[in-house]
Amino acid sequence: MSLIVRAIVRVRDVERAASDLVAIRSGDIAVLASRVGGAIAADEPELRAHHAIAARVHDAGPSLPSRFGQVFPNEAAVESAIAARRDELVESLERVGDRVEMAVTLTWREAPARVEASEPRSGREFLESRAAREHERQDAERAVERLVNELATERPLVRHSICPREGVAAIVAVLIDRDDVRGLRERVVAFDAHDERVEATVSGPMPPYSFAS
Amino acid sequence: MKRELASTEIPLVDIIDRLLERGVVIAGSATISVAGVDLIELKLSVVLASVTTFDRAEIAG
Repeated sequence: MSLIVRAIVRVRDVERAASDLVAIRSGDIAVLASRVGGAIAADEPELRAHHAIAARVHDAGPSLPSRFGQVFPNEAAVESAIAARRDELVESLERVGDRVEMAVTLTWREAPARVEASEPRSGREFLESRAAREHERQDAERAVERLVNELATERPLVRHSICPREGVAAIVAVLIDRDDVRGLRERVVAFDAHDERVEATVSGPMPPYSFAS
Repeated sequence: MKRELASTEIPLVDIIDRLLERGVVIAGSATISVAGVDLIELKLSVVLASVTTFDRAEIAG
């Protein structure tokens, strides 16, 4: 049977985090994995199952949640893979600790003007389209700035992606202490209430996926 | 405070955003694949599947 990686924890946290998972130890850290028999479908049930395990592990103590789909043939292959990155992973675990991730999605209240041309008919149309996209990106960056100012959060604790899909200005990941979850939700609601350009919705808490690497 | 994450409902779109693009990767050369298909290629089909799921949910709702 193969192993699918779920999370990385400190060795001293293995027992409370993972009674039903396989723990592959390497120095001070351990990889927690599940045995899988055959093909893995990246469908909603599998993704939710992976998330549920990562959430349970992080509830039990500091962890680095794994990206979905890392499959290894056996324990030896996992051990060999983490050996090279062990020190770096220990540092990441210390940095992230017990904190949790909140996801803030900024959606345009009014879609920015766009010249959509999958096949531009002229050079002018091509340049107009490119300028519109750049303008949208700059607008989205400014929206993230306004949000971060509202949240009063240190920059290193925020990661974002700009214009990830149509209608969405940005997805902002914020790493916070567990005690700050309610406060952050309230600040996002306040931002949503007064910002004229974007709507803000918040979800979480969840394991610190965006800060695990 | 414990069990807080495990009991929080997260929208599928946020789960997809994170599980397929973020999270720790333990080795650059590791087999990052699902069912033998490279994850980068698989990502598109995953997104399509989720859109279908959303469509179904909207129709049902």
